[in-house]
Amino acid sequence: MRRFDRRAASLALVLVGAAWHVSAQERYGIGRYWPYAPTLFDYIRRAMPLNAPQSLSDTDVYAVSAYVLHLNGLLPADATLDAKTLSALKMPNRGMFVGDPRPDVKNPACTKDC
Amino acid sequence: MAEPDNHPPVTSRRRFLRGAVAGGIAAGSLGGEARAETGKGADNLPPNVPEWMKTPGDPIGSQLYGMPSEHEKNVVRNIPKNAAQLISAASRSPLQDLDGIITPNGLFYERHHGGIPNIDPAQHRLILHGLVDKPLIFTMEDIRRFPSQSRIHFIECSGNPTYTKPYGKTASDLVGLVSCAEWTGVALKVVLQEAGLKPDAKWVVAEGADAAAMTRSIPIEKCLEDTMLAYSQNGERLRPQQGYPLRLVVPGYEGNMNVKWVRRLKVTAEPVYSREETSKYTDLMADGSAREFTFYMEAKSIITRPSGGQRLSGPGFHEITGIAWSGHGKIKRVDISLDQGKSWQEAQLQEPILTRALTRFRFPWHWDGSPAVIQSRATDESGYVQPTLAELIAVRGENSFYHNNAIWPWRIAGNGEISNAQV
Repeated sequence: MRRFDRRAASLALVLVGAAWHVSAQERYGIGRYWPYAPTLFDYIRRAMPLNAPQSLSDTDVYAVSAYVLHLNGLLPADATLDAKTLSALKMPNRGMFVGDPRPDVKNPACTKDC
Repeated sequence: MAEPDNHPPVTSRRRFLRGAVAGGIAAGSLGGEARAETGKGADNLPPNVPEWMKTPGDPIGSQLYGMPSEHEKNVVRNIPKNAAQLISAASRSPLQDLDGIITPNGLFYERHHGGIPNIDPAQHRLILHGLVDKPLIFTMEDIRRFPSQSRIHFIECSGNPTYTKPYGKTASDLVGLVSCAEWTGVALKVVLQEAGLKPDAKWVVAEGADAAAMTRSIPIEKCLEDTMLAYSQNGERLRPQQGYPLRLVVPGYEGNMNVKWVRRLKVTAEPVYSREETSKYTDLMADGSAREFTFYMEAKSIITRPSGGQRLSGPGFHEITGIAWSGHGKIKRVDISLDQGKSWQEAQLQEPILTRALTRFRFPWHWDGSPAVIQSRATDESGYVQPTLAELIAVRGENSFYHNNAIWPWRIAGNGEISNAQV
């Protein structure tokens, strides 16, 4: 049980991207990292809950999405979410995504006296 | 160009041959002296006749699906000890125990995001819809009626390994999330043409029939170039762990784009920005920017023997061997350093050298018994050279989990013990 609780606690930290200690994992928190809000709806709808994916109604998926976005400080507690309000939500980190610049690292391929 | 003390490969090979002959005369090098052994198990050793020659062996058909010898039971996939959640964890190929370039199906690395589904092929369909002239649904029989092709390609997980410690002890711990197989199936291009692409078709969104409904967007150019719908692996039907009954093979692209258990292909004008191409599988840089759609796995190599966790039996001849690969095409050369990266010598590449496949390299080495650091460096046909970990981190920082293709050194101690030199 302790092991499960620790996992639940760490999941909660990931969900809200807690600010008091930013570990590598927490940097990827939804409010901190995710570029688009509808991704949350899509992921919950097709893969959550982990033990019973695709078991929630669309209304439930909106409700869970709204709750998680609220935990991330992106929606008030009494907000109502639908397709229109969800896709209108601007995620804080959206402007930080860039294309693939690789090859970005150059090894000079030295063969002697390196 | 070849200085006498620069040890070009030809010189090294000649030196090995001389060394082996001299060693054979002096103290017995690669074989044992011809004399009777004593002790446990010696009853089966020369000059005696071993027990398995004195009675008939198992009959034909005692294993209708053959298994490895019971004496190879330790050569298995490797699961991290602290995997928090096994349904979305990974298992690694035991690279240090494998030869050649083809990974046996039972040892192919695994990475699942929602467990391994048990799919009845009679109840599996591939849906092709979106920006097509004619949406289609295929049975597995339909898929196998298309003209087939077989190609050898590696598949590698995007995060193999991460940039931060602790680094793995063995080659498998470190970079065991790569494997290579001969895939048989149909070119995705042929199937897409059957449905007819609309002019604004720019992406194909693939969805797996697993509990994660793994979803990735693939550029249409790649779908029309060399992407495959594969139903067989190394001559037999895909294993459930590898996507039975149908998966995508997207040569050279990061592992999870090779969507397993594929059930749906939606042709779109834009990528879908699924969780696995936004929250995951994007590369967070030190400055807070994040690279998205970083598809290609860049050139990489690893010495698999001798490697971490192994032990050299003693000074003398030891072949250095390993694997190299590149998502950008063929491996052009592999260099070996025996002196902590101060100098490098070209290894021999074993044929066949295939596009976006593992390539086996070999290098003859006479170990003098003193501590050494050995490492390999791959160059691909685009001219790209595998970087060091320091070079990668200097540009990318350590935040990202993905696309670490660093050179990896092994430290050999005076007693022959081998460990990860980066730890």
